[in-house]
Amino acid sequence: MLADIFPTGYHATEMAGVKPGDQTVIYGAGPVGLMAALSATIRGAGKVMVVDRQPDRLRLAESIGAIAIDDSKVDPVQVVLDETMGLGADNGCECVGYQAHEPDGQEQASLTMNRLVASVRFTGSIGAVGVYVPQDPGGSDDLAKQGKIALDFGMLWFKGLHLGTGQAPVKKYNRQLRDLIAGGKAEPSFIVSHELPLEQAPEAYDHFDKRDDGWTKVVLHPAMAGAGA
Amino acid sequence: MKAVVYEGPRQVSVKDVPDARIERPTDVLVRVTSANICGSDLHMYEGRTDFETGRWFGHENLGEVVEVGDGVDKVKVGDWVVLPFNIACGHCKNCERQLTNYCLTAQPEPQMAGAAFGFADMGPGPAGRQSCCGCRGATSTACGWARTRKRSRPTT
Ligand SMILES: [Zn+2]
Ligand SMILES: [Zn+2]
Repeated sequence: MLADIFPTGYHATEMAGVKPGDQTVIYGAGPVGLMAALSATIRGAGKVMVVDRQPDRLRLAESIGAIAIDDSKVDPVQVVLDETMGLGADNGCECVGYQAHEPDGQEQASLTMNRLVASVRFTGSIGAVGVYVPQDPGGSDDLAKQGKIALDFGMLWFKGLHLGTGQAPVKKYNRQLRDLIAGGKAEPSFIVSHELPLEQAPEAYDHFDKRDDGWTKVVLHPAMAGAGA
Repeated sequence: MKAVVYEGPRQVSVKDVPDARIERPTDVLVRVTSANICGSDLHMYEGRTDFETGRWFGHENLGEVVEVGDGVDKVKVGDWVVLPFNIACGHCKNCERQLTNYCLTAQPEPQMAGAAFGFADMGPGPAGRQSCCGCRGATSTACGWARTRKRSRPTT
């Protein structure tokens, strides 16, 4: 947890400037999105909204007090506006990245970023930790192949939004987050669904990649019984 | 040692790879006891990055220090450490500003900054030089560094 996802989720909320009482929306309820939800909660957000379409992940978001928004059933931007008196969230986190896709699987790299621009209120901030790449030969269209997205920059500028990006500086946060865990104030392990021997990595990757129900986070143990064969 | 090796899109296998060893005085050898699968691995797993076949996955590692180089005095054998996925030196212009996510010296391409690392039951790392704040019990932190040949895109 401390090697990556908890610091990465925390970094998203740091770049988004989440403060006590804030209304925060998080796009993506994978391990990092759920850690961003946990981090926003720790930072005192008054309302944390998490958008995804996998029921198991949404249930985990709800288990820590977040509002789960299923974008395969509702328009997530509208739900965020409804939850914030039409103003939009104070801040938002992008925890999906360049392989963002519609619930039917159609990739659209700009999907979550533009939803964030639409979901966050004027002068708000966005922290984007989902991975984007400078080239993506497997991308779904010419822009994506060149590592570009059709960002609603006009609206982003018009609203005076702040945008932070990039991989997290783990060491900036890991001691503090470790001590929150040790002090019983944070329990990031709530997302762990499987602890398996290293030998089972191929099946585990397959299940996790397919978003199979209940495979929310896998921890592999090289020395576990059954390993080393 | 065993590692999760990338064989091509949606194909990985667990294979024997050369054991990690102390190569520089600032290296730390860690026996990895927990290694997580990360969502960012999936970009590589699905063949959507320039990650080469034959390289191994994994950058969320926790383990026990089993050997330290002569130049390491902060981390001791027996310490439990968590290895940040960022590979960083700790003393470049960016690292000194807490931007270990954009280390200038761990990146093989001089015009780039920032690097990350892999699954194996031992991970090489000159943690001694830069980070390693260990703590007893299940949750401790340190840093690692894999002498990987060439990194793929930054992973989170
Ligand atoms: Zn990771
Ligand atoms: Zn550095």
